[in-house]
Amino acid sequence: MSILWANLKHLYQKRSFWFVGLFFGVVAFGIAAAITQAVTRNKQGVFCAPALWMLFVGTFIATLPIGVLTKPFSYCLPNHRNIPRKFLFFVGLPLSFLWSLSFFFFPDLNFGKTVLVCLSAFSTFTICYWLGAWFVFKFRNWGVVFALIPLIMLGNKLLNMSTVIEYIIVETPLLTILLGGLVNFLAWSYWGRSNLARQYCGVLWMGAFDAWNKEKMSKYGLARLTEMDKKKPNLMRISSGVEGFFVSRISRAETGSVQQYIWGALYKSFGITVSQYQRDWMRFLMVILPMLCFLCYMPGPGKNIIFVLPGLMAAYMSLGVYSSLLICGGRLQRFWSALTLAVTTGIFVTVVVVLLAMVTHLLERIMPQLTVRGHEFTFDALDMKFSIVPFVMIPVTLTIGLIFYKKPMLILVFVIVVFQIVFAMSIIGDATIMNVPIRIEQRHIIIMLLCSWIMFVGVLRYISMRCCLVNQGR
Amino acid sequence: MINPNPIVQMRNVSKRFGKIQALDKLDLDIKRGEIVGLLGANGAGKSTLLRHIIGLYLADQGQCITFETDAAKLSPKELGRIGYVHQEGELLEWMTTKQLIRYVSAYYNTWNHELEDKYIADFDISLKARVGSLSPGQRQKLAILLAIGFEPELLILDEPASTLDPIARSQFLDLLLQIIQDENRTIIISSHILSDVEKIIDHTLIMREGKILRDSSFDSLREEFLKVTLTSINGKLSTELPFERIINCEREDCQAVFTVQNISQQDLEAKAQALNCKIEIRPLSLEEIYRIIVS
Repeated sequence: MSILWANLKHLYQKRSFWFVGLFFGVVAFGIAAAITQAVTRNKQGVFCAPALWMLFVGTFIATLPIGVLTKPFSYCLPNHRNIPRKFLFFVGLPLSFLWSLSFFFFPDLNFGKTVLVCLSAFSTFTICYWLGAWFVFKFRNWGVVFALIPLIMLGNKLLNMSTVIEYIIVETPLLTILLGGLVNFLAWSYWGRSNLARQYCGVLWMGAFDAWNKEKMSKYGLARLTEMDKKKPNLMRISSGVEGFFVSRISRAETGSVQQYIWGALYKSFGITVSQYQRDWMRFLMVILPMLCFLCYMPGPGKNIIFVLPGLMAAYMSLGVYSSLLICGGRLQRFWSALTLAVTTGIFVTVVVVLLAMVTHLLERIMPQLTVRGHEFTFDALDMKFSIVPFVMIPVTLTIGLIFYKKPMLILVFVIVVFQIVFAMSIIGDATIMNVPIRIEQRHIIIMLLCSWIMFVGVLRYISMRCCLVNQGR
Repeated sequence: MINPNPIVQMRNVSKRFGKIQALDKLDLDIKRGEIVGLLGANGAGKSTLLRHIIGLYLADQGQCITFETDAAKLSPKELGRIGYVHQEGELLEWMTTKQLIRYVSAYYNTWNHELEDKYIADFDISLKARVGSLSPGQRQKLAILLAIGFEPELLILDEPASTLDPIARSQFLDLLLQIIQDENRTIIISSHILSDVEKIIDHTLIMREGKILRDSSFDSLREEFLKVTLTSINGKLSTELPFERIINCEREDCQAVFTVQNISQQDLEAKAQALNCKIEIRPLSLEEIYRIIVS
């Protein structure tokens, strides 16, 4: 068995890639169908859809060689140094070639021009593929790929990118082929450099499915923390004021009392966060304000995602119920400290969301109407009535997190289901299910609020008092 | 014919990570066929030294030569002669153990399938289990199998037994004892479990704060340090004992227990006879020697 073949086998040996393959297969089928339709209906921009497909395929394929490179044992594997490059080329080029053949059906081209355009398309698709692969190697965190999505959406909306790319492929084939050749050469050099193995050996990185691997997430978080601590020693430190506030309360409380554990849990969870906001509130504003502006200029109810996201993120929050023995509370102490933590988080997030919504109302008065390439964008403030959403969602997602603590993938599935329900119930938009209008009234919200918190307290109490609480990771 | 040149040579090697001096002007020769025990506290620089040998870390200063080649430029042929068990023991978690063994073996022409089958049976490794689902000990056994399956000339073991339970550790030691039968094979083992290491090593490197405190054969260390129990035959021992270089002396009225350095057994016996004392002499364990040298 050749070494390259042994590595190519990873494509089917890795179970998560079965789903990835299925997903990309379905999307590829859809693109192929769309291209077939575009041939007859002369629709613009569809022929370059594979570029996007190749970009995301690149991000997934790159996770395989980087996954091996980062494992220390691979450093001494003879002849492994060339494998990442061979692997990426072996997968990327045939796929790009196959997609480029679709341009044979591009209307109104003679044979010579068609061949040239196909080569141009091949170059474009490989460029996109290498860009995706480079993202993963550069940032060592697959999650960064999500940052591409709004950029692509924005680019397509404002600059009509699909049509522009198609135009470039068809009208400037020689330049595109030249650029493609250059990028492929750069890719060949980048993935073939002599220090590649040394650079990535033992490095912690986050793969596409690692967001649900608690052990790896915590390792990655710790490594990032250490890196940041080296660069900016004060950034990840608890400020003396915050430390004094919590430690004095912990020490004043009776030893072993519930009160002491509650203060301990709050300190553990919020100590760094509060210290950071204290020090870096300007930086926080500099990140959040542009994000708010982007969301509020976004047409439709999509901006209300800001009310849903904190609730979903809570599923991965540690309440300290399953904990190591560093702070060894009894069952009752753990129950009360976890409950306090959940309520505090709920209130904290809700207050932040309300403040953000208020800021958008202030901004609404001064933000102008934008016109980009004929599209008009109006700044539309966040709807205050949705501010309660995080407080309703947080107990639900925390309950899911508690129940499926050892099955992060199931947490993901439930988070998606909750997300879908939220959308289906149109809490974040005009309420319709299967075209039947739904009105969410105040009493419904109160009932949901009560139900979610009662359910959370019930589950938390059961787990805290009756289940095994030893933290054994996954 | 055995190549007389050292398999690893380090000359004036220094490495710094930020403010920490991980290696400080190290000079070192490791000869072929030696079993070297690399000892030192956490942060002494053991793993850093081992990573320089395979070229994973590059020295800020000085030169590291492995297989007569600059370690930074080891070719696939030379890498194919090195087996390395890393401290972290991280493997491809999503593979089954069988898939991982097949994967690693694809890289080596010299992979010994009989040896593989033997160790799978000895270590009781389940071939169908996913690597991620194995216990830390099982994972380490697998890492060891992957490092020795191609019968490397140079085997580097960085804390290989730290996650193994006592039975697995004993199996691992037996395995090492089998491996060292090949006189052409060099093994460098870094470990905190000194009682295990002393059964197999014939050379010791003791490190502290990036420096080598001691580089000598284990036999010479055992000859250098002796534990003496001196018992007076008639009455009290004299206050002044006529021995030089005494370390850690504990005494009662008619008995003294102490360690001596660089005094021959004959000298000790002669002096004991002169004092009219009964003498018991035994060599120190590696752990005792290590404590003396490091302190």
